Amino acid sequence: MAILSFKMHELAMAQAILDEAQQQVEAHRAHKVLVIRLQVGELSTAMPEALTFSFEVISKDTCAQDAKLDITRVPWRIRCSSCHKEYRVHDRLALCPECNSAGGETISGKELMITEMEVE
Amino acid sequence: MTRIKVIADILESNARIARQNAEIFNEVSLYVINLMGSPGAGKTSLLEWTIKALSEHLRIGVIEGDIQSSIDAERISRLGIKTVQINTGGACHLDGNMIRPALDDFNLKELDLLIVENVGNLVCPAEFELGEDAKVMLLSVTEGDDKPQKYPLMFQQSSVLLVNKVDLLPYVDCSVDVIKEQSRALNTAIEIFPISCKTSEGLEAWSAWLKKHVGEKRGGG
Repeated sequence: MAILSFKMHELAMAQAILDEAQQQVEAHRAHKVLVIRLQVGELSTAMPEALTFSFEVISKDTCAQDAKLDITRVPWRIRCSSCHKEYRVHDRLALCPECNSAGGETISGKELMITEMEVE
Repeated sequence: MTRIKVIADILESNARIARQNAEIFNEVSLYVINLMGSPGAGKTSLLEWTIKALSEHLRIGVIEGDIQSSIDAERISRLGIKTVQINTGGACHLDGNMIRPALDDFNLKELDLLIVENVGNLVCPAEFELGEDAKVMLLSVTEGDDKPQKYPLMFQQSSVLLVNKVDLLPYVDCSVDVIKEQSRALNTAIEIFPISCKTSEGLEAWSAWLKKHVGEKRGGG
């Protein structure tokens, strides 16, 4: 259980995913969740492995217990504050490839979204 | 099999509670800061200094978040400040729901400023809103100047960065200029104050910032 206590934020996120899945199952008169598609930005503090593990633990004996979490990482992208070029950040914040300015507005990478579910 | 388009923010349930908290604070014009930083960065020392400097002018309340123990709440209570300790029992951050019961212990109408000291951690406190007016981050120079690159979200979400323990700069390999440059690359609007809770260097600027923002909220403007 050590992972659970150190990764409690993924557990809270997994609970929110399960809540949403259960609501959707009810709304669509389904009985089982097969797949839950998620977008997790590279800046998000959610670790996909810990999210998947947390979800497995808390979804036991629910309509989502066999559901697969299909997680897509969303790249961290920046719009340069000087020349407005949009570029992807790999590993760590670097200078703009166009004009060498540092940083700018983050336009993607903070996502923590459910985008789609398959139910039956 | 049915495919359902969902588009739901996973943190929305927390965000909803945080918005309700914000309404509670706004109703009584209470300014709330969410103080975040590593264990040992000096969050509680900063609180002690801030309380001593401002308690004549402002009515302050404190919520202390820790995994275990009421050591911090005891420290702050000694200054005659109403303090509520929340023990998260392993959870690495406070969320909107966790602080709600603690609010009942205060007479919020009689406060000007509520400071919530989050669990010492540079990771997930950045992601969970409490309903605060501002996130204030404390980083100490002993932690190194690579922290903006390693924990970008924390720096992006914070309105203020306090760089603590600048009295130790002669003894550590850390550049405040590098911290400033990299923090601003992540967040152009972030306000940065180099401080020392030991020598009080830079703390006047911080308390002026705080007084200004509390005043603006109390004045309704």
